[in-house]
Amino acid sequence: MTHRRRMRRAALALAVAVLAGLPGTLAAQEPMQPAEPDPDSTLTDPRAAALDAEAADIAAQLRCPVCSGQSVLESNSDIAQQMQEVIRERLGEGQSERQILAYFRGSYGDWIILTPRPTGISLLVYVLPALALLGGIVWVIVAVRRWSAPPSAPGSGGTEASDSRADSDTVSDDLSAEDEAWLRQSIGGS
Amino acid sequence: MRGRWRWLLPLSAIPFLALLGFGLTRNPQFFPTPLIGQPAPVWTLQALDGDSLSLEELKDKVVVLNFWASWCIPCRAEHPVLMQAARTWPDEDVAIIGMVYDDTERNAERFLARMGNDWRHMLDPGSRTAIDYGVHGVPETFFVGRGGVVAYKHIGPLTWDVMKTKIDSLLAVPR
Repeated sequence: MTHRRRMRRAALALAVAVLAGLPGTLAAQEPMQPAEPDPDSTLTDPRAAALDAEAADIAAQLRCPVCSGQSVLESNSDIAQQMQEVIRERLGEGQSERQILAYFRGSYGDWIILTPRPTGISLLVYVLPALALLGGIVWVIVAVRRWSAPPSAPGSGGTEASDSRADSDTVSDDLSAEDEAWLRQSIGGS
Repeated sequence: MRGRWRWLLPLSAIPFLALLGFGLTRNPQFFPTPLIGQPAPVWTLQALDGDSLSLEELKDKVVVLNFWASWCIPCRAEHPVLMQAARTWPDEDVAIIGMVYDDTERNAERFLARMGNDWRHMLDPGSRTAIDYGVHGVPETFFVGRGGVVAYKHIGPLTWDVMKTKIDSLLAVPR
């Protein structure tokens, strides 16, 4: 009984570790934070600073047309600099972020937006990881149940044991004695 | 993974292979433009020779809008095609317009002096017009039909075949 409990605890710890690691991975996929606004233009006028910050925020959402995988904000290419200029100009004219993004989409297509919109085939980008995660969780649960089932000794009593035996006749029954010994040793059971 | 689960691993490779096959056979140089079928972004610009010109003034003609630069090697390769086009179609039917992209006036003039120049070239300070047209790089060419609607975009150096088919098809549209 103790080794079973220990195995359960180990499996639980594993699951917690996996889930705890998740927010980090998700955060890594967030678009780049806008860099500090250009100091030259912000020395005197706080409104210019606000405009620069807003322009940087928009530029970070746009893909640089001549570099692979960089945003307009990150890129030093002429065209990216000129696009930043266009953003500032349009903000100065009182256009909203949405209007400016729509302008760039109108000339470059959805391609220009770094974060894919959740429609059409791009929707897979959002749905597939969630499905994979769900499948992984189900798999872990099933696997843990099988591992923590008692060895195939008939009549070892306990309702829990007979429950898990019911759905384990495919895998745990044909787990060889060798495999099982290894598994137990690696988890730390005696 | 034994018994009846054995097929699962090789089977799961199929979607990945399909995705790879799709991704790797696509042309990375091809960027679809949303401008096809849309009114061409308007512009009024100063030409390299000093005059001012606007797209409006060309609305009765088929317009070939060619973004180029003196530092662009493929632009050199396509230059004879543009030369031949300028000779082939009269100016009242087809307007060929060079758009000087991210270049200095001096270098553009030197390029044209060496390579030949039979059509107008517009200066595009700050690449404003290039951004309006969603230009990724040079050379890129837009074919605008009479009435000012973008009909085709060609990425990369023009060939005579492309030039002739597109212009002929646009000239065939009744006024």
